[in-house]
Amino acid sequence: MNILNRFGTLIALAVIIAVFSAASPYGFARIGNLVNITQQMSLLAIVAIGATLVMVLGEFDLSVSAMVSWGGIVAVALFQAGVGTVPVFAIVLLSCLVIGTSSGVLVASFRVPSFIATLAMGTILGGLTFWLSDGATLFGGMPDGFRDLARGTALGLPVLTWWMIAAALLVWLVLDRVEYGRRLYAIGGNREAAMLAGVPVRRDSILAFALCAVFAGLVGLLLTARLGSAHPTGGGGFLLQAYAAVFLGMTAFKNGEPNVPGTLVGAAIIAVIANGLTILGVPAFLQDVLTGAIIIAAVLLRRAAGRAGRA
Amino acid sequence: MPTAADTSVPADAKLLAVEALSKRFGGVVALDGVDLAVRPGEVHGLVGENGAGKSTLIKCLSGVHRPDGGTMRLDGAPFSPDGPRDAERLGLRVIHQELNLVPGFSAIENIFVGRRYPRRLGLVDRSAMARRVRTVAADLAPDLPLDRPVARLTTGQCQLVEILRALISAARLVIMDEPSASLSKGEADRLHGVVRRLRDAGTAVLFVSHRLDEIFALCQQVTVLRNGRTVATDAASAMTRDALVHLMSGGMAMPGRHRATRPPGPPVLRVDRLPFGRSRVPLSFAVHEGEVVALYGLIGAGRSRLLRTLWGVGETTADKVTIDGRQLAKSGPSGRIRQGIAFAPEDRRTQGLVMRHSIAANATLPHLDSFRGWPWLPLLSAERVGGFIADLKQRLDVRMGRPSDAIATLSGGNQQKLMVGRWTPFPIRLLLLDEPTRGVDVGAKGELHRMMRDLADGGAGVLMASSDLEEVLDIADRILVMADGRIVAELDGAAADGDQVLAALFAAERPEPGSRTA
Repeated sequence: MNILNRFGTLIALAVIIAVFSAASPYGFARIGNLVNITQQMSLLAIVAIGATLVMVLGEFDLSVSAMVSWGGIVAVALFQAGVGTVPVFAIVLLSCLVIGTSSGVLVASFRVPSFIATLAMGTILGGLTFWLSDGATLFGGMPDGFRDLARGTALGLPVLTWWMIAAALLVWLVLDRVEYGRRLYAIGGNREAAMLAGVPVRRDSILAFALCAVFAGLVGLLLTARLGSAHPTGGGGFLLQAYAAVFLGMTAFKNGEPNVPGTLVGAAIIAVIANGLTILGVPAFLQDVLTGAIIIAAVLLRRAAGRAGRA
Repeated sequence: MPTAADTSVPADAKLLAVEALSKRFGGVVALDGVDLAVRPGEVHGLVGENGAGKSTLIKCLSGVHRPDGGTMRLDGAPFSPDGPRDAERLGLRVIHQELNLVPGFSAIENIFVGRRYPRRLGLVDRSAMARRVRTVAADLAPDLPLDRPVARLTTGQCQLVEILRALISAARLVIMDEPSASLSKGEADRLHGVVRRLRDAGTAVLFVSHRLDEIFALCQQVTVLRNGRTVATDAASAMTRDALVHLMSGGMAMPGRHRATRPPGPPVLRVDRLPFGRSRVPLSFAVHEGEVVALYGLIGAGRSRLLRTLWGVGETTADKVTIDGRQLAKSGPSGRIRQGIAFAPEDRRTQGLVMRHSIAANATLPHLDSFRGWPWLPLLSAERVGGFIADLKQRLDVRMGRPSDAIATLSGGNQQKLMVGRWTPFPIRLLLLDEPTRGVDVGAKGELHRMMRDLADGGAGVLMASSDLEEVLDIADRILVMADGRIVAELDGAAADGDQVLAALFAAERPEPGSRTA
């Protein structure tokens, strides 16, 4: 395996950073801005890390956006009803666990294609969120302790960056070292072989959907804490970007399988492009066009490198 | 390239002449000098034990494989088809044993897949399609529902669709690979009528079948393959059933390299009147400590299904199966593993291994919870995994690079050794094996056999499904012959010879209509 094949996406990130640094040495390349990027990418990264678990199975969870919005709206509604921070966390994450488990049961036990099951689940959730919020942005009633969970710094890094690091470490450990993670990769690699080797395919798959939903719910909470408000479609942007990050990450390390370090690199690429283009004053619509084009280019590059590596 | 206008053909010429054909797959010799001559207007029987090389020969003829040596001539001209389409263009039709139909398409739509559609005003002319199919179907299968999606047809009816597909346009040589295997008696009779009509029209038919009465009823010539070689070719009228069986088995006796060294102990596995297969005929047998028991039978006899059932992923075993006197666990493979059962499936690429994962990941998969650094934490210890792989590598003599290399980098034999051997460091009471040595080289085969015998000598029971008669005779202490989901004969492995096993099998190969199990 050659270097380009193994670390292609990482090299791409380095190149992108180098280009922006050259273009804007006093804007983009400041330490302060680079630290800022880790904060900007954090929520996307956590959603993507959750999605990575499901992608390892070879499945999709298309309800992550709706889950983020749901988490935010439920949190504010509960705060306004006078519920404290800890119970709010517990209720929101538990509700996401239940919803994710339902998606998992539909996929693993009833063999509904995950695309369809989670699309439907996301639609249902979107409807419920809209009903809860009456379609309006909810704000107010949040204690400062809750807001502090997503603002300010600790030990020199933004708090949100720490959340991302914690989520990444946890899921990386699970996927790489814990038996459960190895079983997930086996299911994704060859479901039949995993099943015949004694892997509890159904149970493990359901848990992956449940965990993915919990991470999305957590992002809903953190986003709300950060903004001080919640919008019924507040998580709308996360779906496509999260999967873009996972796909970029699949091409970063390992044999084209989803993995946490890769997902982080993927999220970083997306965040760096957005940050760099904004600093350079590129209009938002062009940013989207460039982001999409860069993702396609990265994947094509990896394909070509893979072919060269095999030949 | 031969063409239809080729006129330089002598009067008694062969339509198809194959000489000294050879084909290897890696270290495995599949064809090792096959000779075959088919005349125009002849029904030519091709027989041989499983693995004798029939399928490989057909795949060479139809352009799927390229032979490594020897010659193939069609109408006297060199014949080397560039693929199935090219073979078809040259007048060859192959009716494959496995079905290749689009489930949602009707028979008519399936028959035209990959062909030129009749057109009208530039659009597909469905009524012309239907007319052409109905003309051919009227002879072969008047009752076949041509408009229904084939997903809703029986296996036998699908087989008829495949046959129709091959016969819809004129052919010079039709190869039928066990066409009657899933047909009912009535359907098979009509197929025989069609074969005779093809013959009378001057088309040659190469007819592969395990049903010897069918061979004798239909064929003028018979060619026998064994171990990739033509061992006899003669007029059917000059042969007897016994002679044919003897030619196929080669008078194989038991070399006895891997015989039991101790008398069998108490039963490990006991199957007591388990309703099985489509016929639900109750099945009873036992596997004892120290014993290697072989399930021998043709493809489709139900051997794989029986092993999968015992492994907890097939039919329910209810309370009819015990291991060491205890009921089987209800929880599928993971429960079986806890009861000391191990299983190596038939196809290591699709069922046994995760091909793109590492050697270590594959070797540890069935016992992931045995590699913990601390017993109460489900974390894999890299040291323990490393030690396990090093031990396996030495124990099984696996030639491999690093444990983190993809398992696909190993040879087939080494992959197979790992797939079976990954169970052996753990206590095993019963080892279930499905075709344990298919497609591996001779060296790996011997080592796999030694592995099985060592386990049996250590007090485990081994139940192995195999289509390889030589292997069965070589290693089995007892042979259970299966046909149509039933055990039709039980033979002593030390005393039986190839003739006896095949005779028992062919005596049973006259199934009731529609009673075959998948």
